[in-house]
Amino acid sequence: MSYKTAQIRLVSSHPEVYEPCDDSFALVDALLSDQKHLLEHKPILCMEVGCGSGYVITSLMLMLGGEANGAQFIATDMNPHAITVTRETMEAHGVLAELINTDIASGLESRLAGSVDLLVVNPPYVPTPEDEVGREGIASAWAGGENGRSVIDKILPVADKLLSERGWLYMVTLTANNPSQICRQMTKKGYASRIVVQRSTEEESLHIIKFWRDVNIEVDANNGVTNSKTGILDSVRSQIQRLSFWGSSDINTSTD
Amino acid sequence: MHKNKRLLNRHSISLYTNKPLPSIKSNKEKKREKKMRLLTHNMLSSNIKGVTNGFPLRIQVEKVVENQVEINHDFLRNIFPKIHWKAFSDASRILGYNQLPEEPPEPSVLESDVDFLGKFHHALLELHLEEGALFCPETGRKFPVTKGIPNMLLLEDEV
Repeated sequence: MSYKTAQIRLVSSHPEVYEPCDDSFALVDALLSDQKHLLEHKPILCMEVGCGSGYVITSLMLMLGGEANGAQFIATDMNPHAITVTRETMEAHGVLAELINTDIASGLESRLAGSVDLLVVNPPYVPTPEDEVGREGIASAWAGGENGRSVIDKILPVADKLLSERGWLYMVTLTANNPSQICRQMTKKGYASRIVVQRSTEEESLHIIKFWRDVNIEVDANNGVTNSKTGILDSVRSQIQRLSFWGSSDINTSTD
Repeated sequence: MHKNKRLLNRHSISLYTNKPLPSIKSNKEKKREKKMRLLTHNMLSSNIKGVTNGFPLRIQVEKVVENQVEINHDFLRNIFPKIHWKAFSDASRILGYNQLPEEPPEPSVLESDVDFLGKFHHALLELHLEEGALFCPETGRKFPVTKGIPNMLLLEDEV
């Protein structure tokens, strides 16, 4: 199979399942731009939370060589139609993952704690009234509550629990989600972060952020005061501030 | 990501591909594989609020299917340390396969014992629960497995 990512024409669809859109493409582009590092990193357990159409997890599997390359892939979605569509998308591309119909990683957290090497998330990040969050069907793909943060703020502690010592997290965020505040929050948990792709579409300004555990970030016992020896936190925050002025350009920040 | 996204999606897809909208005809013609592997069972535990020992989930079998796939030694070696052996070998017996040792084997067998690797591979990846259910070992709460997909969604008062 020579394709690096899932082919749109082979991606299955359903009226109640979110079809790949700019945010999905930006996430896959972020993974592609990091493909060399990912292949060197050799993640054994890879997971997508909220797989929707399956476009992202299928692309990831094609990029990394799937199970044939010795890695295991897991995808979850709370929308049962999304799980069906993901399975069809995977089959159309000749790949296979464990598919679980669940909310975030409920039911997987205890057995997979500390063992996920690669986690990708395109969360429901659109700011909406709080009562739209968690509804059935396609609304679960976008409804993010206040500042689009309701579901993101549930996912981050789960991600922290699931990620292995060498775990990497790639997440889509919107400017309205306050990505620099998300990075600050993750620094308190010991994660460094980097913007892999910043992209402004007609409607949205998207940041794809990569998080990884950084031994140079000291986390105190209260999980409160943190001290970044390397100043990573400051650099990401200034990156976001700088980039948000860059309007419609599509840039990849340096890969190292 | 947009609320009126269906329209927008179609727009963006045509920009990306210059091709008609996704067609999965070729896929629909194929026989679908509907499977839950024992690998999946080994990763799941009951997530109900207050349950302290939710692993392993008890399996109720309605339909088991076997599906041969190519053996991949690297995959098996990578996954082996993550498998809870007793839960796995018990589950394989419930699915009708009696060839796995009850006690966890030494990791060295993964390097040398081709016979063991074959059995491990078969139970882990080729035996599928297509229809049935998983049950919380503590509360007996049922998690259905339909067309090979476990449904771990909880009701509001269970979260």
